[in-house]
Amino acid sequence: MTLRVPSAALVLSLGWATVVGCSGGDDGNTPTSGEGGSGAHNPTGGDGGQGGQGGQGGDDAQPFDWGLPPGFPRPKVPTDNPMSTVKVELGRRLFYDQRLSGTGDFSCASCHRQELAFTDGLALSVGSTGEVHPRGSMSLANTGFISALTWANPLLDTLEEQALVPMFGEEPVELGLAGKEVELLERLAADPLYQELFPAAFPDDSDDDGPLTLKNITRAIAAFQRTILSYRSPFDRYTYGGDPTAMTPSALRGRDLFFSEQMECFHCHGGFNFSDSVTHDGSTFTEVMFHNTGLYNIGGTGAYPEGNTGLREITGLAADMGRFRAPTLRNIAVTAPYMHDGSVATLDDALDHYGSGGRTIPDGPHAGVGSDSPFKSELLLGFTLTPAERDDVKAFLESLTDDKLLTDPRLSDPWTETP
Amino acid sequence: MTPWTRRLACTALSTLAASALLHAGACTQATSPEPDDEDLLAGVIYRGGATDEALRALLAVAPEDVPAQAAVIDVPVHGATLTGATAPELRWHIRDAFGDMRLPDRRPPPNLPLPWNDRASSPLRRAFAPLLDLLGPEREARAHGSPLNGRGYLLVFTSSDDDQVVMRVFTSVLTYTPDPSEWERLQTAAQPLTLVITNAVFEDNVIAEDAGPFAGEPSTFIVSP
Repeated sequence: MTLRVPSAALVLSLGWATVVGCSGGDDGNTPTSGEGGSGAHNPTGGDGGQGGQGGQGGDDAQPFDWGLPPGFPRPKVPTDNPMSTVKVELGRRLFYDQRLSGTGDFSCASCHRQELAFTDGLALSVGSTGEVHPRGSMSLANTGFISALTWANPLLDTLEEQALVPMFGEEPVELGLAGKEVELLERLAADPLYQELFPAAFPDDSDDDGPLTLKNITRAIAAFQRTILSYRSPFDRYTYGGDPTAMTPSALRGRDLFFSEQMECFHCHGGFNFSDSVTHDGSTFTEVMFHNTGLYNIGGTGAYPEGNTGLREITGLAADMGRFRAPTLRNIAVTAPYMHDGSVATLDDALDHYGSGGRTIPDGPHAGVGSDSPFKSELLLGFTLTPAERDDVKAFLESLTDDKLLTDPRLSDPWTETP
Repeated sequence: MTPWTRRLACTALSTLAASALLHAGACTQATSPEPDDEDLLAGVIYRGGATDEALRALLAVAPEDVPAQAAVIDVPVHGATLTGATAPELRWHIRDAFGDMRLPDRRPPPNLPLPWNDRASSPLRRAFAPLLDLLGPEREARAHGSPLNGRGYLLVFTSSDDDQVVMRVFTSVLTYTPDPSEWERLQTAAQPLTLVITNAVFEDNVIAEDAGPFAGEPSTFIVSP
């Protein structure tokens, strides 16, 4: 089953919408960017396309060049955290800074490695203290477009808030900074580089605390994360760039299969980001969706392994068992292993899982037939592919790899750069 | 009337009323009547998962001349003569979509009631699209499942003799091979033919900001039997 969180509001507003839908008071292209702000209306161009201001509202808002091609959405930017080049650079420094951990040898980048599309290659992530997490590290590529962050939390909807989870979370420990807030600020304040960057990134912060605060740390990291943009894959060059040489014939055939009703992939992995739960500058309707893909059906009850039951852990609802957000498929070929717990090792295994309409685990503590799960999404009907078709689908998925993202120096570790 | 039949009748009437509202909403705009969809989209051939909804959005806006975003026709080249019983694959590319370009700021003021600020792309209509599909007027070309994301290309073949449109194709891919009947249409039309490809970048069937439509470069050629 699929949960669409705002469905109640949708139903309640039906009558009103029916009446006003064509009243002329609402037009499709009226910019209503809200948090996204004025950036939508001031394209300034950029490397390969249009730029535009990333934020609005603050007096310090400067035109920010996203460098995105025409037609590619821009991330939505909170009004209280407008984009600026210096803030992004500060965020990059913090993202890669091992001083942002309790142990002093761990950073955001420890679990989000650029060459793996900002994942870590592990089935289950390992925090700074060695604690193993119940879930795998999600890709940060295009994370600025996601309306519900992490695997299954509809309440976590801004990168600024989300950054607090790995920093101060204790179950499990990630960066391990809980109780070390003062120490962290002192550590960063002692660095001459930060003494320059924080005031430059937050010039209006003139209160007693100054610009070096936890709030501004998370703001800067979030600003950097919004620039982790994947839009230069072969698929993009073909689909957005009109370059007929970018995709192979096999990948093009795979594309047709991917978007067919035979496979149904696009229902959850659709749109420009190959995911649902997406928002961007100018979008006015934010949907948040979670799905049970029949990965587990322990004992035929629909149960997932205890301690990793998805949305149910937030809502407490039995029907939310095993529901997780559909992650982006961009760069999927370099982000194995797959699923929230890394229990699917390869793309072939993933195709087997979806082709069967759910995974069968024949024995052991998690034994069960996933395709029979009472909580499984109705979109998971299974499909059959010939070997050639399977190769085509894999070629298509591989065409979603943005090699430039994996090596973009603007996103790389600044602490290892030669001055 | 039993409570059950009363409830049934009530539900049916509510559904009819909602449908009537949606039908009415689909065609009431006192100050600027919509062009007839059936005329607008009549005869268009859809390929590559392109949708009628996206085409409607493309046709609602006059194309802009942005050379870097223009579709350049590779086959047939200008002045070519195409022969043969089977159609060749027609091919094109965008001149320099990812190149070093700067787009002019051509955003309209937010509340200006311009023709391209149409109902079809309103957030509410998008939000209620499934309901509209269920209860609203029947669409001529229910195209093909997923909404269009990325570039869409409208190929218009016209007869140079009388400027008559011979054929229109709307596709999301960078090639088009006419099927036998389409090839015959091109062969039997007054020659030479001119092909122009207009394109735009779509997000969920709606033209994205500053993303077209863009005028294409024409190619004139002859198709002989």
